[in-house]
Amino acid sequence: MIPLSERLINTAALQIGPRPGDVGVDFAGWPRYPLAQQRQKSFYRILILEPIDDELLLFHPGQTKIIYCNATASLVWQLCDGQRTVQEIIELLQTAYPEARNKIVTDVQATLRQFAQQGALELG
Amino acid sequence: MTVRYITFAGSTLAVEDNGDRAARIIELLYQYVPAGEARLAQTTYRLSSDRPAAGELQLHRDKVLLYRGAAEGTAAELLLSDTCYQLAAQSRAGLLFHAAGLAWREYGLLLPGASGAGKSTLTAWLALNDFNYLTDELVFVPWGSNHLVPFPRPLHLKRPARTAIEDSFDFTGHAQRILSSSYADLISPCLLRPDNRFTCPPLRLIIFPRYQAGSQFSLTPLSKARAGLKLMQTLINAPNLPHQGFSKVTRLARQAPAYTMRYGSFEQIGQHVEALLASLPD
Repeated sequence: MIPLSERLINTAALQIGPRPGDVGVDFAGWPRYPLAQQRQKSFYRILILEPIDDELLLFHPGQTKIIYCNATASLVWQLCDGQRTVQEIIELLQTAYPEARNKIVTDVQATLRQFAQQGALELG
Repeated sequence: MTVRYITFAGSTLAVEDNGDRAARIIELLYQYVPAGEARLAQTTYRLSSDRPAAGELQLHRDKVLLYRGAAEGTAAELLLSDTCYQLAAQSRAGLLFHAAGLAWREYGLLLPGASGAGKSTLTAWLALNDFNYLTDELVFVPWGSNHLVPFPRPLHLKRPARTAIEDSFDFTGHAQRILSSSYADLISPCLLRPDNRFTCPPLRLIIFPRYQAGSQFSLTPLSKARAGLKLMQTLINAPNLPHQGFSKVTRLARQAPAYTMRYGSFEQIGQHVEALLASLPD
């Protein structure tokens, strides 16, 4: 079975940024937070990321909080590049998984809400 | 008076005894703990059995009185738990997990879990069934290593857990050599396994145990990310480490398969765990 993220990349021809190259490096610019197209934010924070297989752990040192992302949440996170809108993320996933069109809307919104509640990103 | 310097996880403590009873207790608790250098000791414990009155024990941490009374088991439990806490509080030289550790052949088995997860009872049972006992409380993984360094203390078994192993272990026959309080027993590992050896095996398997009365046995594989998350929850020296040791913990989680294990009795546990270890590639 092709991993979810790989299937999505192939299907939608997405350019997903390179994965972190080393363990425990601080990545300037993370989290990537989705913004409404016309509303740029100066919000900035550093998280530590640990991609493991298709999943992801986000560590927030300031709050000593760890966010576990399963493969789907990890994929949504990777699509949050600070440029795409929530609607664009939904449309990309719907293109990749047309059979789950309706579910993707609620799933993406719920996932982003959880990221926001945990302080991992800010919704524009 | 004799002074013993014990070292573990990069921390060193001094433990003094005054009197024969105090010396026997300290011997039971720390006989397998490596000796440290006197100059590194940051805290001194004193256990006295020769004053102020015969039959009474006094326990101090530096100048703080921790216990005064006649109960050897209670004094021993207090001393052991307080020294464990101090060692953890000062540890910065690696990852220190609230976990039991065992060895099967040359393989290291890590059983992380909070108090009440059933670590000690499960550890006692495994030690009575072909596993080498390492510790029931603290496992240290030094920086740059994947070897399990146990805090080699006596097994601390809560009273209700006696029923779980009494078919395999003669509590009455060993009564003179067990330190008991109203709450728990402190059992030297050599009573569980006469040929027990404290080794530092490489980590090969992680199991998060959960005792649940009446439940069916289940062993569920964890993804490496979930294992990392759960390991972080048992990293007790996290506040001392850069970024709470997060990256180092996830590195460790990548190195060994991890499972959650729920059990309501001990039947089949040893066989399942041995089969898992035996199936691991060299």
